[in-house]
Amino acid sequence: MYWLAWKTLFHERGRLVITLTGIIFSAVLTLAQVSMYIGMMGNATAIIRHTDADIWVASKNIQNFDFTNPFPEEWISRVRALPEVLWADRLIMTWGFLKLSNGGKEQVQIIGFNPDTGVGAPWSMVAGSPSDAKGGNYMIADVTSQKRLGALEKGTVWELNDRRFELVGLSEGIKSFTTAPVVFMSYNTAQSFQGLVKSGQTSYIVAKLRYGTNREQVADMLGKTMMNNDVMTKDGFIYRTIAYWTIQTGIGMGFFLTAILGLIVGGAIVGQTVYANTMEHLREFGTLKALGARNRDIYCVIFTQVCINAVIGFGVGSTLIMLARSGIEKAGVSLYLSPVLFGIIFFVVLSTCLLSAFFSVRKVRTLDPVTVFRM
Amino acid sequence: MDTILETKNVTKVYGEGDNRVVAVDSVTLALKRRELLLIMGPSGSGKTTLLSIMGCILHPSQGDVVLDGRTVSGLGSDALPDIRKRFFGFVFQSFNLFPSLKAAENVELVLRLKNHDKKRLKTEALELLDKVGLGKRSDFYPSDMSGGEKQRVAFARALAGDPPVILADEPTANLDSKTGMDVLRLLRALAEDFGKGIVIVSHDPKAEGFAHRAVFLEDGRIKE
Ligand SMILES: Nc1ncnc2c1ncn2[C@@H]1O[C@H](COP(=O)(O)OP(=O)(O)OP(=O)(O)O)[C@@H](O)[C@H]1O
Ligand SMILES: [Mg+2]
Repeated sequence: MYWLAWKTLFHERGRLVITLTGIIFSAVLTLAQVSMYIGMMGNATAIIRHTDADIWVASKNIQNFDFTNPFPEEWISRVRALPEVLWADRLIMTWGFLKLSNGGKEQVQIIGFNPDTGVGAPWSMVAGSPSDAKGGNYMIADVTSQKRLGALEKGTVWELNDRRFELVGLSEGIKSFTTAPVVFMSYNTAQSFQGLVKSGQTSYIVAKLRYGTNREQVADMLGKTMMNNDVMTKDGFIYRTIAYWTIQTGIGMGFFLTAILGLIVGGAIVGQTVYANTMEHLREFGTLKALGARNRDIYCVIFTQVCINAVIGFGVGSTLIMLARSGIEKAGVSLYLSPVLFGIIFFVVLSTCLLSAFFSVRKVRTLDPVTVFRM
Repeated sequence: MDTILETKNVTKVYGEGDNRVVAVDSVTLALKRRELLLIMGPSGSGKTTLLSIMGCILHPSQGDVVLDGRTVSGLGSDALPDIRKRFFGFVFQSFNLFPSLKAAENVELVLRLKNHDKKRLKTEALELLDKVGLGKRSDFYPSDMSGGEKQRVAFARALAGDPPVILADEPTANLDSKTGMDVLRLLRALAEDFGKGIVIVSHDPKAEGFAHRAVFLEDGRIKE
């Protein structure tokens, strides 16, 4: 009966176009919302994810990576005292104002990392290397910030909070949740800088555990001894940051609702056209039943058509997103688009379409072939 | 001439209490191969109901339907689609063709339903259309054909899979007088030349001249 599905589907072009429009609409909206959301959450947790540490020690009641209070850096000795800890290091997260060539100022997020060990260092470098930031007023910026900061070139000198910095390296693709440009410098430089973090203070202590150690247990244990801090595993901190932006701020909810709305509207359009199509063919379906077709033969026709629609509609929707991608990213929005995400959203869109055929299936099931003699 | 289809004291009651209607009342009837049987009767006399019971689409309230020597009225609803597939071709007053399929494809659809050899579907469909004199219209959509042509396609479709019995409800009602005659002539030929047992329900007085036998139904009963 796949044959019948193909034949009738492409015969009714008008309805096909409406159905496809519904699915494309759903696919584009859902893909855009979900990839934007994941992109934002990816940015919000980028430093945590890319730092090779198992444990994060932060200020008490920290909500997310970007909102932190400094605390004494010497507390690192408590972390190092644990036999399970392989190494521990410090990381500064603070804010500053970068003077632009046009005279304006731009707020930037500053990460102070250890250029000797590379803990907290920028990844995906396109010019220079993280160790170049060592021993002076050197900074590393990200090429995606060029829209905000103007042209970034290695060797140029910039003024950050009234201090002159030489740009010694460039990374690509490191962005913050707040969309403020991210600037990396050495830990010592960041500390000597008159920002939120004073000398002798740090924003984070990060630690790597020996292989095979239970991270949760160590975090619990440390948390009991470090009463003035929050001690989290890497995953725990990622989760806390995401939960904050998603739930507490309602940002995630907004994306979620828009995506769901897209699915509902698309599903309603598909359901409506499939149902209209079924109603229009009721006489023929009844005839088929009289001639010995079983319900499942006719379901097969309906579902095959829905699947073909879903594949084409999702294909077009994905293509549109891919075409618009660079434009959207130039506007400063991060999109996370991976084959797995396409796979999952295709599955969701397909399920919505199949679900929307529910009324059609019910109609066919209750269709009594006797009635075709009276139609 | 051997009997292919029989009804034995078949009764169909619709509804209950005040709404109770005895649509078919103890009808005993036999159809032989190569026979064109005409069922006549006024509106509401139970013709369509009887035809639906004969075609294993509707369960009788009482009585038996015997198909090629086998009592089928006792079988569960699950078994009926396959029985219909094997034994019956149906023709309807309003043709009921798929508008998005060409004439040949409408026939092909039923061949597919009956699991015919995929390689021979096109040839078989064309052969069937030839039998009803429509070989030249195989590429036409129903919307581009006359009523008589559509009804011929419906007959070709009913013949698909070579079922021994063809049941037709008012096959000439939507056709003009001359086309109706052509269709009746065709039906007679299908019975005699292809050995089908054919039952037609018709108001059409012309039909009597083509049938081998006619029965008259009134209030669900056969009137001799
Ligand atoms: N599903 C049903 N429920 C209740 N009564 C029904 C049903 N189907 C038919 N009837 C009744 O059964 C009787 C016989 O109907 P049937 O359709 O078999 O008559 P008919 O001879 O085919 O009529 P016509 O020539 O108008 O087509 C009628 O009184 C009709 O109202
Ligand atoms: Mg009738």
